[in-house]
Amino acid sequence: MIRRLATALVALACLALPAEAHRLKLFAQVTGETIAGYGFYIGGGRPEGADLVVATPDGKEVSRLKTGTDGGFSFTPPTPGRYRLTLSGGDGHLATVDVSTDGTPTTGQAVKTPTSPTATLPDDLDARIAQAVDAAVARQIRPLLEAYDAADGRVRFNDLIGGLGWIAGLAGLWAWFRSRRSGHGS
Amino acid sequence: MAHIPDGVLSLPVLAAGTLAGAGGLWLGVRQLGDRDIPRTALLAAVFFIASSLAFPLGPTSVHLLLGGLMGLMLGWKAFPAIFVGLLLQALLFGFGGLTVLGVDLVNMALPGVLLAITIRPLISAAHPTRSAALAGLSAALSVLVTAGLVGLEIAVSEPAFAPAVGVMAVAYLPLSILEAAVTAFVTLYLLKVKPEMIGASALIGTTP
Repeated sequence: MIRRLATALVALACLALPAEAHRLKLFAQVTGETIAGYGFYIGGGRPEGADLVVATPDGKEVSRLKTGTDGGFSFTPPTPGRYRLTLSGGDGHLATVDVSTDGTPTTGQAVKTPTSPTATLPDDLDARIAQAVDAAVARQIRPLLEAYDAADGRVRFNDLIGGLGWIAGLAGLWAWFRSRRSGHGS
Repeated sequence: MAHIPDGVLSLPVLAAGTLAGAGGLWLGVRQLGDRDIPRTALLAAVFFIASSLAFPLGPTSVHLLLGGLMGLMLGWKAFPAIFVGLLLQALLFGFGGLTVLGVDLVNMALPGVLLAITIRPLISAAHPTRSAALAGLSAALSVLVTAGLVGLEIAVSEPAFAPAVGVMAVAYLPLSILEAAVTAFVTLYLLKVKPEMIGASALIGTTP
């Protein structure tokens, strides 16, 4: 019986692979002083018309907007600084990301794309080159960051099997503990 | 679905949930006799796998919760089983926060356990179809109660992020139907093959 159930379990696991977690995530990128990005479910789907709250790191609400049909949003905060974006999917799922529009580091994965070189042209040629390179690099690594974000919540087969091992080990530990207490083991 | 991240719930909700979760755990562990260990571990594994894997359903994706089935097969022992599953999910996959474990545990385990206690007298191998239908109904209800608890807790702690009832219904109604079908099927199968798996021993515990 137990063997049969276990077989069914393994079959289920194989059937469902490649497995994806069900989690709401938020991708945000800063261009100039505008924060733009989108929310997405790792299992698939985009939260449409979900509430996005922009707040300062100490929790003061700055603005509140709704995501578009593709889960996307765009927002320019009144002053450059660090902001915490919280997306509420409306079904109990929440996602948070920290972004900075003034270049100070954040703990989140959001990246800062410098202002496009045509917008403000410094006189110094070196600075212009540095700015152009920064913009190009940011453009190039964006797909990479997106892929990283998407892969972040994926359920890996190894972890899944590892979890089963933990459960078996805990059951064994408990049984051993019981046997010592009731004296069956001696 | 019902894995709440860290830092969303307010302290009173967290404290109440943690206390209730600990109480359920204590009740479950007290009933966990020698012979119950393999079954409890097996169902912890089933819960761990089933609620880790999401599959696309409509515009979003869902995963099973199996609260109704766990409650029916384990009684209060569903608490330790689901606790182990949730702990591993939080540690391995980052599903839900560690501080929210107690609240998540109550959300997922309590509705199934209480519903199972209610319907248990009506479940017997002599009436497999009726029993399976009842089990399915309680599984569907337990999904909806879980969703209601999650929504309520978030709304109470952080009114700004209160979930919308309409969106919740779209996400959880198909899941409750699916869960009912799975639970009814498993109940029917077990009543025919191994009825004692859904017997009274699940509630009382075989050995003290």
